[in-house]
Amino acid sequence: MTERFETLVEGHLDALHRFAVSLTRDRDVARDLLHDTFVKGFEGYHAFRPGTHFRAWIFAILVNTFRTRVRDTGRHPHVALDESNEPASDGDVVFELLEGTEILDAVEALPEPYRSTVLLVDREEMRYAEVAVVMDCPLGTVMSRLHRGRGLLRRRLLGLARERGFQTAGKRVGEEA
Amino acid sequence: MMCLDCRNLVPGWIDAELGPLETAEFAAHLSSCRECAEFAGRERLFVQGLRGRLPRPSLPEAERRQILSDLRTVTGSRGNLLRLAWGGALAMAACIALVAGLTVSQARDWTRVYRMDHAAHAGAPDELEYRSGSAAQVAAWLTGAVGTPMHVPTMPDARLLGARTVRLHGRTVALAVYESAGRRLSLFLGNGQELFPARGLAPDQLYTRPGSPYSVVAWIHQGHFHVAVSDLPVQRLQELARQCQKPAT
Repeated sequence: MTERFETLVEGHLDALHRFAVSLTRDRDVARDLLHDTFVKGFEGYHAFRPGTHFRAWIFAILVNTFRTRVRDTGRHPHVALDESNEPASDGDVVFELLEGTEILDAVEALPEPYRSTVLLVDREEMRYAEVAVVMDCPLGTVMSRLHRGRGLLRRRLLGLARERGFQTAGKRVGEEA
Repeated sequence: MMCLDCRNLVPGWIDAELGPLETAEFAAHLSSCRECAEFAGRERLFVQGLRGRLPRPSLPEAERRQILSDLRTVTGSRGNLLRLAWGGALAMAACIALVAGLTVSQARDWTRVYRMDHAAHAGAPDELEYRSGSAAQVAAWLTGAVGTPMHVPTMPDARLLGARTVRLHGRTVALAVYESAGRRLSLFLGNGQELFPARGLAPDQLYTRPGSPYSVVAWIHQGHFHVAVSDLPVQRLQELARQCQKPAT
């Protein structure tokens, strides 16, 4: 059982670490979070049902552990929600102007739960059903969070691109709304 | 289908997550609504661009080894770590980096090794090397095992189960195991300053590190450090620590 658990965790170690760093924004804290996730995961592994998705299961433990830590420490990472109604467009073009690290910074600056949803789907390539397990929410909520999160991200990336002199042209869908 | 409904389904369409019926309704709407079709097309390009440019950093090798070491300590198969020593000069260099990393990390949170050891052994078949409920007998066994006189405290609200030794930072440390309210409590005992770097504590003053699932309460009593680890509520753990400090009656 031990070797099986280790092997399964190792297969997702990069993704788990990436996500832990994104959640905590601190590599040392992320390592502590991973450690606690391993402890809880290993303790609960006997209840893991073979055939179910291990990735979603272990990510769900990671997220729950993080939530518990945040609750216990009373620190709630919060980023103000950008409620701008400015139509977001040309998102596909702005990628040409921005560095990968800038794009990642913009994703990680998204407020929760949009940040986690975008990271799990667009970086870790999880299916919606997995994300629903990880985030403990209905499937439809995953889709709406993704829609909202990508919209916020698009606006932020567009803002960054505009600082580089990028200009939009032509009427965009949504401007009439 | 209304435009608003259609746009809410765009993520599912991009990610191929829609069911057959939704897909058909979505496609039908796009064929009759140019603006939604343009919106969906642009969204898909955005997501493709995002996925193509979003970095997926891999773990640096030294950090990977540290985390795998954490994992194997948790699962109790730390022996696998020894294999790291057999990989030529590169692996040796990585091991040196690992040791250096662990030292720095432990300076930041010295309770980690204790929590990890407890996590790996509490309730496991190898939890006890010596079984006895007698503090005097356990103390005698530990004294023989570590080579220095050991005192094993008693607590009215915790039952002594036995003892074992553990290697921490190259030293053999004594460990008494108790049970209270159905929960395991590991009490590490010793006198190495490097194993208990909570400086500035007065004798019997409690150092507390709440944690999930394991909390740590530590103190120095009569020149010996005591590190108690358990998933008991931290207040309960502190009460038991106070019981340890009382002279045996």
